[in-house]
Amino acid sequence: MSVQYLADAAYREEVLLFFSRVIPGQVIEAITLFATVAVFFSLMVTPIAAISVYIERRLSAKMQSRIGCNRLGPEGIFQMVADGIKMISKEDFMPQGADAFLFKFAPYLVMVGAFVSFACIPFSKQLLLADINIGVVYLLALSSIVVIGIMLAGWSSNNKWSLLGSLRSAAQIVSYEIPLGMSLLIPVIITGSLNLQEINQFQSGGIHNWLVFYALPFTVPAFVIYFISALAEVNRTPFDLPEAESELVSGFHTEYSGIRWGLFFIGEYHNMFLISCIAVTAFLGGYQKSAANFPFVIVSLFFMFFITFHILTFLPKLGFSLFQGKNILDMLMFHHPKPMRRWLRIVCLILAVVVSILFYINHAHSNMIQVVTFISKAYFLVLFIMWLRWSLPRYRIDQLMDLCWKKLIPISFICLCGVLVWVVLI
Amino acid sequence: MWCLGVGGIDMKQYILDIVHGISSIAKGMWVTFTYLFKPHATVEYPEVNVESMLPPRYRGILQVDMDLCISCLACERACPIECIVIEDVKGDKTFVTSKLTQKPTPKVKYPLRFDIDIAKCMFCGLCVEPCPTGAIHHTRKFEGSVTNVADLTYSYIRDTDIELAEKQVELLANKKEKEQA
Repeated sequence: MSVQYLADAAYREEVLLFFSRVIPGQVIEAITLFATVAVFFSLMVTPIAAISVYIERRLSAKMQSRIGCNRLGPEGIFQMVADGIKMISKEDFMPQGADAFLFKFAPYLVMVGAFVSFACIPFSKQLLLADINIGVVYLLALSSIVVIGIMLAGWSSNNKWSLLGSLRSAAQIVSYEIPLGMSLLIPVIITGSLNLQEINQFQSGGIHNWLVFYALPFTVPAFVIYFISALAEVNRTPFDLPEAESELVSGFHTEYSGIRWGLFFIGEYHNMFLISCIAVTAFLGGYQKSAANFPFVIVSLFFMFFITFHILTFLPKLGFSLFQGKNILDMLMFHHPKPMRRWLRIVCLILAVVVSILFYINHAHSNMIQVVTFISKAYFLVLFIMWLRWSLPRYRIDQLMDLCWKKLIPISFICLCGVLVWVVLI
Repeated sequence: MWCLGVGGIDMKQYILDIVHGISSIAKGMWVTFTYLFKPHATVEYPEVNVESMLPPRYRGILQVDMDLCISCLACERACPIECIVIEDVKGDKTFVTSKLTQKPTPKVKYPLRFDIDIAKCMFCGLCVEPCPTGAIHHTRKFEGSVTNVADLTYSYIRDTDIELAEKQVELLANKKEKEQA
C-alpha cells in the first residue's frame, strides 16, 4: 500500500537524502509529511463519509422494510458518487443579513476538527501520522473545535432556528465533555500513558487484555458512558437536538445548501467514525491480534468481497454496452439476477472466513492486516450508531441534561475511583 | 439501605430507572434488528406488475363500453364535478342487454359524444352506481401521465357509434317526411 510506504520512516529518510542537497532538510521533511497526510486522507479518510452514507441508507431502508438505493450501479454503490455530484453542483446560497465571512468559515471549522483528529489514531503499528505522547488530550481538545464551528454556523446564519440549534449544541457538548473526559481517563490510568499507541500496545495478547475487561465492574460501565457521551458529542440520534428536524427545521445548518451543507455532513460522518476509532483504541484492543476480532473481520471482509465481486461482474457488461453505444445511465441501472446474488454471497462468505483465518495466523507481520482489523472493528461501532439512530426517538432537552448530570457524571466518577482503587490494589 | 436516599434522590428508584432505561433500549433495538432479516414490504414499481396486486374493488381510470351505453345521462347527472359530457340524438327504440341484470333495457337515444375529463375526475365512483347497463365502469389502470393536459380528456365514442347515431337521425328525418306526406 502506498499509504504505508509513505508513512514509513525509512522511505522518508530516503527522500530526505535525495533532496537534501538542493533544499534545506526541514522544508523537505515538512513537504513529505504534508504529502503523507494528503495521501492518507485522500485514500483512507475521505471515502469514509461516502461509504457511511451509502451503508446508512441501505441499513435504514432494511430496518424500515424498504429496499433503499439499489439503482445506480450494482446494489446502488455508485449512489454515493451521484450524491457527491449533486451536492457540488447545487447553488451556493447565502441568506440576506448573514455574516458572510463566518458563514463561509464555519463548515471548514467543523470538518477540519473532524479530519485533524485522525492524525493521532493508530491504525496499525506504523500507520500513525503523529505519535503524540498527549494523544488523549489532543483528541479532547480538538473535539471542542467542532462546537465553535457549530456555534458560528448558527449565529452567522441570521436565522432563529439556527441560533437555537447551535445554542443547544453548545450546552450539550459542554456538558457531555465531562463524562467523556472522565471515562477516557480510565484507560489512561490503567496504562499510565496518554499516548494512544502505548494504550493500544498495552492491550496486546487477546481479549482478556482489552481495557473494557480490565476491571470488569468499572470499565464496562465506563465504556458504555464513553459511547453515550461520544454520541452526544457528535450530535447523533438520540442526541440530535441541535438539528432536530421536527422542532428546529434542521438546526444550525438550516441555511446551508450545496457543498457547504455537504461539509457539515462529511464532518458528522467523520466524527462518527472518529469516536468509533477512539473507542476501539482505548477500550476494544485496537489493532492487536485476538480471536475476538474474527466476527468483525469476517463481516467486513464479506461486504468488501461482495461489493468487489459485484463491480467486477458489472464492469464487463458496462464496457460491452458502451461499445454498443447504449445510454450509460440505462446501463448503470443494472441488477444481478437473484440466483447470481445468492451464489456470490456464498463465495464471498467462504473467502472472508478463509482470509480472516490467514489474517489471524499472519497478524504480526503485516500492516494491512492490522489496519483491516482496526477499521472493521471501528466500522462495527459505526453500524451500531446507525442502528441506534433508526431505533430510538430523540431526547427532550431536560432529559438530556438529566441523563448527563445526574446519571453519567456520578457513575463515571464512581468508575474512575473504582479503577484507581483496582489499579492500586491489584 | 438503598431506600435511605442520597441528596434527596431515592437510590432504589435511581437504579431501577437506569435498569429500565437500558432494558427498554435493548427491547427497541431488538425490534429493529429483527427487521434486518425480514423481506422488504415495498416493490420495485416499474419492473413489478402492480395492477395484479391492487385490491379487488380498486377504482382506476374510467372505461365506457359504448355497445352497452343507452345514453340515459345518469352518469353525467351523478358526477359531482361535471367532468362527463354526453351529446346524443333521439332514435328508434332498441334494446340492449344489461350487464348487471341480464335483462333487455330500452335504448331511445344514441350518443354522438362521450367525453370524460380524467384530469378532473376524482374517482369517486358515483357515475358507476346509477348506470342501468353497467356500461361505465372502473378499470385497474392508474398510469395516466401525459405531456399535455388536454390529452387527459378521454373520448369513448367510436366511428361506428357516430355512424349509428347519424343513421338514426336520417331514419327519424325520413319518418317525419313520411308523416308529413
